[in-house]
Amino acid sequence: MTDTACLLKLYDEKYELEDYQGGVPRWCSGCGDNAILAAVQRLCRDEALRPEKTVFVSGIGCSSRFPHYMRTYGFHGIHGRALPVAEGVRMARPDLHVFVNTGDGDCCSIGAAHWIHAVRYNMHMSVFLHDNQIYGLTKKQASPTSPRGTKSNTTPRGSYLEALNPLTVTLGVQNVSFVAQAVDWMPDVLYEVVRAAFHHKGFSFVRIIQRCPEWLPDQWEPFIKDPKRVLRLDKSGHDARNIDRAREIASKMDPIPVGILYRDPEVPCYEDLRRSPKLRTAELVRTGLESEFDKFTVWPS
Amino acid sequence: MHADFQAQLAFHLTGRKIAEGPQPVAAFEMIPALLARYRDLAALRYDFPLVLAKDGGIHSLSTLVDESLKDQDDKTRKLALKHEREIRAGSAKAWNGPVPLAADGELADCDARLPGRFVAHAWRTLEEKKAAALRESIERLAAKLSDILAADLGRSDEGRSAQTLRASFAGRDDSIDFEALSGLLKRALPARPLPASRRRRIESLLKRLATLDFGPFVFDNCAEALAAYRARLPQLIALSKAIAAARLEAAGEYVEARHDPFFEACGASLLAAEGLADFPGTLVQVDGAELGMAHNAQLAEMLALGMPVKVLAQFDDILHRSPVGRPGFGMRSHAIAGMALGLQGVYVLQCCASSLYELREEVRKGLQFPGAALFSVFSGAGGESGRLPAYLVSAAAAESRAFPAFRYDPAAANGERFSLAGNPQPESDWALRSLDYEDAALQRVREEVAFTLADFAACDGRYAGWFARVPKERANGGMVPVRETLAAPADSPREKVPYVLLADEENRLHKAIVADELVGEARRCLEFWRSLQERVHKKPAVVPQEEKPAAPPPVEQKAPAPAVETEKPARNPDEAYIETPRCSTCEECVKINNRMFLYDANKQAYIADLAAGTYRDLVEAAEACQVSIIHPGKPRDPQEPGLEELVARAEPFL
Repeated sequence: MTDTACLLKLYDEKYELEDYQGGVPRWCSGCGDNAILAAVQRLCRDEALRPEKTVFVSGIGCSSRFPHYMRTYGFHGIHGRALPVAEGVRMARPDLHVFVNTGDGDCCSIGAAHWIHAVRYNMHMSVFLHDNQIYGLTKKQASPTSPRGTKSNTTPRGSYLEALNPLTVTLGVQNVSFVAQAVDWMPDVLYEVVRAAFHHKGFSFVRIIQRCPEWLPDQWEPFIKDPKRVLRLDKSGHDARNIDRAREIASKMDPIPVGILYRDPEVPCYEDLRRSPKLRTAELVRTGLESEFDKFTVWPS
Repeated sequence: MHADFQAQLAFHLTGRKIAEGPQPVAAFEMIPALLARYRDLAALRYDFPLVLAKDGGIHSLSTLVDESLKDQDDKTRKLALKHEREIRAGSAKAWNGPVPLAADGELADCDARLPGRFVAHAWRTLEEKKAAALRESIERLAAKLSDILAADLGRSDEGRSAQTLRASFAGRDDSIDFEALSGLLKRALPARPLPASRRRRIESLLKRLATLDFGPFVFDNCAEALAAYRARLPQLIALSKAIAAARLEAAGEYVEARHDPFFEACGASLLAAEGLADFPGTLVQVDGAELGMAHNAQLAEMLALGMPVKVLAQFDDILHRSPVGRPGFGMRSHAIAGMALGLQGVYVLQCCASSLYELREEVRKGLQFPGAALFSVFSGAGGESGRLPAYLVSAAAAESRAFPAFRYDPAAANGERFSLAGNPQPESDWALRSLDYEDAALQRVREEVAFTLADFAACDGRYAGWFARVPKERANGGMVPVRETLAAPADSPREKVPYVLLADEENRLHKAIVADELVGEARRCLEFWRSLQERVHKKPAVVPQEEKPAAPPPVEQKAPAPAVETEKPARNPDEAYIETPRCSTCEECVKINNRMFLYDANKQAYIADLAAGTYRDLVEAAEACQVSIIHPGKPRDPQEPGLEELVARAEPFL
């Protein structure tokens, strides 16, 4: 029994998609961010999340405009720092549903240190990595997840390094509890994955491969045209408790694995470990203040 | 030869020995041949004794010793194993080995007390966790309500009086004029006290939240448990109402006009099993032998009520003969488990004490089940089995299907509710084991032997008269293992005499003929076992398939229902349509024509009005669509300019 659970539900609250739509998205036509936005708004509606109890946190980048388009609480943070902000929100307000929207540059480059430790802390939040493999907002520079050979403004002869794989990196961190992958062009799978991530208690990390029609228009075309080049994990009998197998699958990109790669609901959340056994009653606060005040001596005049 | 067979057949059919016939078997003289190798249990390493750990866990001593011996040298290993043997033999009462064990607690051997200790230990552990969670939850609620009252006091005239303000500074600061401060605060923030009704409600809720009795509620008969539950129910209902109301109050969502009548009207219905499961539960430990008709009725009522009661029915003797009619082995335990199964919503676990450790996860699930649970356990400690330890008797009961293990979990998925896990070779009629022995020529012989109910009965001195030993020289081809007789139909002619293999104290092997009455009992046991197997293999009821939603019309369709992707409907390629469930909301089409293309309730595109645009709009949308799900069909208006070119461009998307 939790504080937020209720023995009875007196009146069901019903929400429509419009209740979560906050403004007209400024993303390009064809951008995969639109698909993610639609899936997340559907999730909020289907789970009847109260807008005033929901918060979206983001960093910087195309994807990080996400909170502007949700009619919930939002925090458009600074570059690479979406996760620390979200962790603070989670710590201070355990009653909120916390979502994080971050991009491949925001999370895997400038925010990489926060990302690694956020996985380890396993705080209860759903993290969606919008991975279009390019810096789109700043007009095409290679990102850490750009495949080797990607030509961009910063790598005109093609990038020299192998791409960073966000899935294998996350699966390599201690305390990892939920890792999944989806593609924006399969809305049903995307919705199911987002939903599973929401229901996971802990840090659920979802990499969503998305198209950037402006700067990498042909990147995913062969995969969209040929369904055999996408591997649905829910239909392949993959055991999501097997982390070794998850790492093996995560390291492959053709066919693209979609679905839940790894899930361990037993991993403890940091906020639960740090939850104070003492209650902050008015009396306790008063006693604490008294004892603090007692440390100061007022000299007699 | 013929005379021998006649004498054997006569014993088989009548159970009476005739002169020169097979020899009688004395009570406790012999045991089933398959059990011969387990005579000295202290020399074997097996699940028992168990360690009922202080931290609530239940471990096998052998497992704990193995874990502590990882990376230890041979000498330490030998010393530890020797000490383990001493504990098993009873010459040592507590672990004093060369390495500490990972868990500390009480030792529990497989005896008459085991089922009660095992279930009570697991139950107490879970109850303590549950009580701690509930206590914390209630205390948090009470703290929130207290804070509302405290905040109200702070805003009141009394809270802002000079006296209170001075007290809040513990009277240490004389430089502050508290009268002036009080006046200032009163002017700046006029008092807006809580409505009296709300204050009364919060105070009343705080009182009610402090009323929960955490037990423990442990009983040794159903009548007392039922009476105590009935006496406690009004308090539980009041408390559950108080918790629900306090949550609403703490969240500031209590609306008097709406909630007062609700809480007035609702009674026991508020307490569904799921809600009750959060409150302290009840454990009833009863002796199965004492469960008569009256007790059965109380047990049934308790289980059917859906109260979170866990009942342990312990059976020490299942070979007890019914005073009239058939012997009725295990009749009472079967009746009780069958009654619980018939109630559907009750978690039922039946097993022998020897399997309790193996099935500990099932026990835990039962104890955590939100409704009632029945554990029917055979201890093996109450029959007349001579020197055979209770562990061996209960293991023999499980092996022979006399007391088969089964579990019914109402919360499991359809088709997985009933399980026979925990039985040896659950797919077979009888468990087959290899028996190795030395023949007269000192050669090793291996034989497949089934352990049947007849073998189990041979463990018990009361049924020695149902066996007759056949001297080796009188053995003949007319004798067959009892499992062959049991495999044949009951009404087939008695041309063969069934036997079981028994071993005497010197481990010499004997064939003993089995009386027909016991064969009949074994047949009934087999039928019961098969009925359990059928339950497992019974296909789950076919859920009638919901009628598939009608395919949306190809043109001028209304917003389709939320996407349920089924097989592709047959489409007329001449008509325009969108594969709505595959739409990835990329905005391309709606930006081309936002009257022709609209989003449905899931924000996926559909064609709202074909007349709202041209064929060119359709073709351009099909080309722009990121996932190629727009099919433009054929042009509707033959007069539209540039049709030839547009039809050619539409060709890949038809």
